[in-house]
Amino acid sequence: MIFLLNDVTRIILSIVIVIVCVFLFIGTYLLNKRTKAPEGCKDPSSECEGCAMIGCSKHPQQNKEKEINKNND
Amino acid sequence: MNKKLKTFLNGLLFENPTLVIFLGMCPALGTTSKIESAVYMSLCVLAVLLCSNIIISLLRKIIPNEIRIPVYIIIIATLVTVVDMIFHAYLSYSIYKELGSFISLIVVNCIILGRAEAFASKEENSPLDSIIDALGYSCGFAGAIIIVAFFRELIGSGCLSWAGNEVRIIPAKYTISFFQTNAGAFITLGLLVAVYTYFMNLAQAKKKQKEAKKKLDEKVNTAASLKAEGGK
Amino acid sequence: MELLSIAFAAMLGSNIILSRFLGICPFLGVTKKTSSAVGMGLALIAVVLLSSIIGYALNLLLVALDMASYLRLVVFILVIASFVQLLEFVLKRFFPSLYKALGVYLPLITTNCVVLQVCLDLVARDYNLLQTIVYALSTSVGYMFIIVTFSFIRTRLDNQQMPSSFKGNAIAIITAGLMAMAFIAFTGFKF
Repeated sequence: MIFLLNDVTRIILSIVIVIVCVFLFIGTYLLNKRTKAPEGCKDPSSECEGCAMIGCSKHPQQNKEKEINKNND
Repeated sequence: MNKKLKTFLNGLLFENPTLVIFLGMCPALGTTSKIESAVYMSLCVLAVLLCSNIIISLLRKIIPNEIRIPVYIIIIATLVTVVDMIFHAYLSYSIYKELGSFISLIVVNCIILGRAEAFASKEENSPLDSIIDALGYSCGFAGAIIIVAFFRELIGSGCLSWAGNEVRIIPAKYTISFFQTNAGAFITLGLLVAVYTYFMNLAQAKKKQKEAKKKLDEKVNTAASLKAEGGK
Repeated sequence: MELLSIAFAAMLGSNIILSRFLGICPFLGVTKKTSSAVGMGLALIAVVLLSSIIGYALNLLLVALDMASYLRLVVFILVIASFVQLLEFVLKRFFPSLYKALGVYLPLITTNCVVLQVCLDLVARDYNLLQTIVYALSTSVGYMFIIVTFSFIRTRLDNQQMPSSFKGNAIAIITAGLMAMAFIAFTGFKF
């Protein structure tokens, strides 16, 4: 397969692969975010006092930001 | 001016990433067996953190709020690939091998994503504030791991080295080579965290004492002035 | 026989937390309660096993197209992250009871060093599919073993008397160092 691709094709193909991965990630992220947790599932953000992982979607800082944004609106 | 100084000191002292909020522990334990690798690791983190803070701060009004975490991860992954290749080209082979995969693991390092989420994406923080914040946090990280590396190398192998040149400070038979092992890394970092917490608690206690004294003085003054007026 | 040595080395000899210092952030955050440590460990086993198979396939594809050196990190992290999101979505919709048990820890695993490191390792050591599965399974089982054991120690650690500057995470790191000392036994003393 290496022989059939010259330089330009490879550059375009690598850009296409990265864009496909990006859209895959954003797609699954939005799909996940919009699905509600099942019934009886205790909301973990109320219990969580916040560990060091700030990138986690359950970190209490996220809810604080939502409230601030709502107040501003 | 005051806000910028406070931002810088926040990353350096009050919320030191390694010693207070415990983000980015993996390189702090893994690259500290020699001072040289600790210095290059902190340079790497500085480069990635600075660039990612600048880019995310410039784009903060354009990125839709729903998908901001995926976008941050994409930006950080690209930056880490670029920095990894630059370091691979310009560092000597032995140091690059010693740093190993810790450079690639900066992409999941909590410091970068945490700062992007908590500081660089806020509307009220200009790009200049984000630059100062990035400098503060990387200086805090660098200070912590260089101190750990200094003690581990000094007590563990007795000599300080840089780029192949060695200076022997402690004779070989008095070194405790335990500190160059994995367990020694944990214990050195734990002791450093304890020492740092002690000094921070001391400083906080002094500050509280000063504030309490000030409040008491104010109360006394207002009581005295009321008394004087009441007397009239 | 070689598979057994890979499994032993990954689980005990060069343990991913105590010898290679990866995955320390959740190690300090999640071990305050044993139930959360068990949940985190189980979620990690599932994610690492499946991500390593995906990583193996992706690496084959990238090497065949000769773009491996610069695209590898970006593609790995994007595909692993989207896989974790997909797993959480599937658990929410089709296995709600499983989600209640361990779905909470799935977002935490996206930024975990262990998942990415297992994928980078299987590329660097040139494993085939069977070796990949054995390596991923033993690494994650070793991780779970360490964090559960450490949570046993840590739940009793906070009630002890110690100087106030050691309370919290400082004494936890020192205790982890003592555990690391115990695990040196698996590789032989070489001071």
